[in-house]
Amino acid sequence: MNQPAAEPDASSGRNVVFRIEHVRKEYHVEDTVVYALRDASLDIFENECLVILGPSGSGKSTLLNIIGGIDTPSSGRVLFRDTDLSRYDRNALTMYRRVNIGFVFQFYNLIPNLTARENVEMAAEISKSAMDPNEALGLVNLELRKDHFPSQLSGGEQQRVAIARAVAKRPDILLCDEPTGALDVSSGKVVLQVLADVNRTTNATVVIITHNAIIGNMADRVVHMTDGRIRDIVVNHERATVHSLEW
Amino acid sequence: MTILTRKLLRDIWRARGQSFAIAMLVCAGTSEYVGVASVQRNLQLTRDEYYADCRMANFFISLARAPRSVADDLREIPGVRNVQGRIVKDVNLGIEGYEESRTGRIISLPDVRAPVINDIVLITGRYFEHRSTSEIILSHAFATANKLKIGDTITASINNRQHTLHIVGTGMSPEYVYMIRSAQELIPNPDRFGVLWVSQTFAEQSFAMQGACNDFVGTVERPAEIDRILNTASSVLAPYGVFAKTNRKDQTSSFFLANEIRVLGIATAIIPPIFMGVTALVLVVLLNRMVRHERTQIGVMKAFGYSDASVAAHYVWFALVLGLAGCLAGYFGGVLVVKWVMQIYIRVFQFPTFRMDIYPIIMLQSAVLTMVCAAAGAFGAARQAARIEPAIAIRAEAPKYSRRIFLERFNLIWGSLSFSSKMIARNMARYKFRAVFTLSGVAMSTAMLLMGWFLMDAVNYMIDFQFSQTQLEDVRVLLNGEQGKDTYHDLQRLSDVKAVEPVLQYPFEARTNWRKKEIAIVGIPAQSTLWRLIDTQGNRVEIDKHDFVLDERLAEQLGVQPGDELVLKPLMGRVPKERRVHVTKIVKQYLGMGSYMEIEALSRVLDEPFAMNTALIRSEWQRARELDKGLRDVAAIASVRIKEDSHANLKKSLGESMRAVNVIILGFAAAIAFAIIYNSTIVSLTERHRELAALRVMGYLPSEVGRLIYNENLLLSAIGFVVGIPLGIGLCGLIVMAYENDLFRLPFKIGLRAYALTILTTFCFVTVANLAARRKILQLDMVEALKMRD
Repeated sequence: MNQPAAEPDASSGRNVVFRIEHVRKEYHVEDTVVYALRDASLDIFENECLVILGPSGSGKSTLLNIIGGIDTPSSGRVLFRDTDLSRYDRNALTMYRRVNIGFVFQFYNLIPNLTARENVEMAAEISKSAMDPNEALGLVNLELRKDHFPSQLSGGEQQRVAIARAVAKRPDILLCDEPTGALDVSSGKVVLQVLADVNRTTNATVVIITHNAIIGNMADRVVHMTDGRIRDIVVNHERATVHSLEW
Repeated sequence: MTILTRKLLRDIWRARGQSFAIAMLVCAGTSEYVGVASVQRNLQLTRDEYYADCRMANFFISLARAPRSVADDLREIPGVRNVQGRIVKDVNLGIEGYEESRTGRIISLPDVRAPVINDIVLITGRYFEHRSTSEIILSHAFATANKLKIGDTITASINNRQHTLHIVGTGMSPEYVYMIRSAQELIPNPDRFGVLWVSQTFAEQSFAMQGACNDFVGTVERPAEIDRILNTASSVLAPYGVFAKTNRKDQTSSFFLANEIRVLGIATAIIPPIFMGVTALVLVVLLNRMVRHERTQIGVMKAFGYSDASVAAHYVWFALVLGLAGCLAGYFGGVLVVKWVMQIYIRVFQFPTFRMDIYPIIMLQSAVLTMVCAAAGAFGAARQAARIEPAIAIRAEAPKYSRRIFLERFNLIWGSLSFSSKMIARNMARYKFRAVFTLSGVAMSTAMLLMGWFLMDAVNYMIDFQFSQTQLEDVRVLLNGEQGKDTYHDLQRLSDVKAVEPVLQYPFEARTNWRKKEIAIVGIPAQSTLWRLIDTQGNRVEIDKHDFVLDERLAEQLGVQPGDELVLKPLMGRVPKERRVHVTKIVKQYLGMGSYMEIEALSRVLDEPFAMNTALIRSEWQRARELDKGLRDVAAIASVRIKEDSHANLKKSLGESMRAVNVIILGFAAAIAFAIIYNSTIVSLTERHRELAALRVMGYLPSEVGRLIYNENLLLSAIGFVVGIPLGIGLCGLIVMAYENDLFRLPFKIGLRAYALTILTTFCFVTVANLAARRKILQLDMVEALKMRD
């Protein structure tokens, strides 16, 4: 394909960041083959908030990992702004993650012996266009806790540090794997609010995967997955505020 | 197979790299212990049996000449079992096809084979058949080195007459297991020195000593009484001019052999404990981590009804299985060590047969030692496992608490550190034990390396110092007895001679108020240029007729300093006349111990105006060998030594054995460094694999993640290195003390080269361990690591 970067999508008029075409992923465990993804195709648009819903084992994490460049498809293509990720070698994928991707995990994965601010600095250190770590912590409302170690923060606070860490690199896309999975409702809502704010203020595309259908209401589009396939895609014409979500 | 056994085997397999490293440590320690302890016992038993079978003498007395019947008087001394008189003389030998001179020691044996003291073992050929003919039995090593066989002849100049001697057999004697002419030579030179056993009749006739002898050898009932017996014997023999009385302990060959056995004993005592200690430490680190890691599993097992004891035993078994595996591998290693080291000894020591056994009791000892250390290493982890409460353990562990470390109080320093440096600093503070463990492993290995490199340098330095700074002649000539000025002038007139210096060496008993020692005083010319004395500061020392100079070590042993008085009693000559002298100067000497006087002053002590028994010759440029040929026919000469050969020979043999020692030390140091650094790196990787995976996901390259680990290792290694150097200097001091004997003292000088090589080798070990860690970093499974909670 020789089209210019970010081809406009006919239906929404927005630019496509990711074009996922017939991606399959299978794992070979001894003699059995496990199909994690069977033929998934999807476009992800610039600056949208996308929620991928599905039960565990539906392939949503695999899809996210492939988009994020920490896993590779068995067949099919993932185009990131027209570049085929499957052509990347390990180092190229690392550089891709470094420049373009921000990851947020269910279990935060902060470095336990670095303070909140140092955890953010760690990401900033390898990025050319990084934010000031204090600014990143400001985005998640944690300036006052910046000198605390992860063990001194609550789960919700740790997740916000993780988001600040992901955002500090100014990634094009923020990939969140069950970001509220380990949190109670109120902490979870604070985290989702932060993600919504980041989506609004930084122009980053935000992809959230979850099995909590309520969260889908805050998205521009909701992708339903089961059994390694994309079952349907629902477009929310009106995004719900995080505030209004209850579960 | 129970489930726990299956888990045990799988755990070992999963941690196979570390398990292998631990087993290798045990294997190295066991091979060394089993091998060297067996070699030591083999050497000891071989010697004891040989000495018993051939009736090795308990004492040796050499004198000018005495009637053979005096042996009967000596037998009367209480405690003496048997005494025999014999003739022992060094002669110059000629062998067809070889130009250089050789020294042969002629020793008389009964005409008809009898069970004598210091009996020989015939290796080939037969005993004498024709009593008065010139049949000889040649020492086996000399025959082999010179390609001589039964039926060949060699010539010897005996009492100014050339004799043709017929070889009828080759043999060995317990007196010459370590075959050197005198202790000063240090290293056997089998092609230049050999023993010629001849019939008593032939010896008496050719040396004109009918009914007489110049050497008595005896055995005693109780070796503890040897000093009393020797004193009584010397007073019995006083009228005949005793040259030297020696007990078995000090007899040259016996002394070297005993020294070797002693050094082997030191090696078995030092090295295995180091290995076992390190093994226990590695196990502590590995198993503690394992218990922490498997906390939930342990909780579940207990919840299902496994007892505390069976869970604890599981971890002890882990250690024991590895210990056992290493031990078994070590037994094979031990067999190889025995084979290898005994090969070396077969070349060095002349025994008719060698024991090559491995001893079950030694194997058992090492197994017990290993098991105790393994169990000790596992103890802490096992106790932890036993104490885990199932109800608490099956819940997730509370997050590890981090706090500010000491360094953070210094804002200026802390602020300037990169986040990775901060991470390393905090990590070291968080896992203090492991940091100390890595650090001490590197320190230990550094110390061992320094010792290895130092040993090689020290031996070279010692030899080079002797041959390039003090011993400056090209050829050293030993004369038959004391000679006068005539011989000196004769030597000067020979062709290829550039300069000659006379030397007189004479044995004395030196006595202070409370110490007594037999010494050889060397008389050298006042302006000697061929025998140079050097003081402890490295400056040249001039000697004049009032001087009495001692080397450092001898002065230490006698407990004297410059200005102190000594009483000297000549040990040869018929009239023992005592003389008082004052120590004037102290000199430095590594090989042998020396005391020096001006040659004419020394001659006067012996009531002679001038006497010499050795000549030092500087030959014309590169003419030493031609000179040697010319000297062969000079009647007054007993033997000739070319310095270049002595130097090369000493360097080759000592250098070779030191290289072997260094290879072993290097191997051990590598095993320790690798096992420790590799293990703590792997443990660290396992514990931190989620945070490292998070870094990888964030876009850190494997090399950038690796740098965190490498830098931590490098930093710890650098500190360990700094700690290890003084430790190594201490070890070198210990080894200097352990090696010290009357024959040599290693110079306690650690050169820059040794330090540089130590740095280099330590760095290599760290790099290898890092490379192994690198593999693990590349294999980090990001997806897997981030999905799971610890």
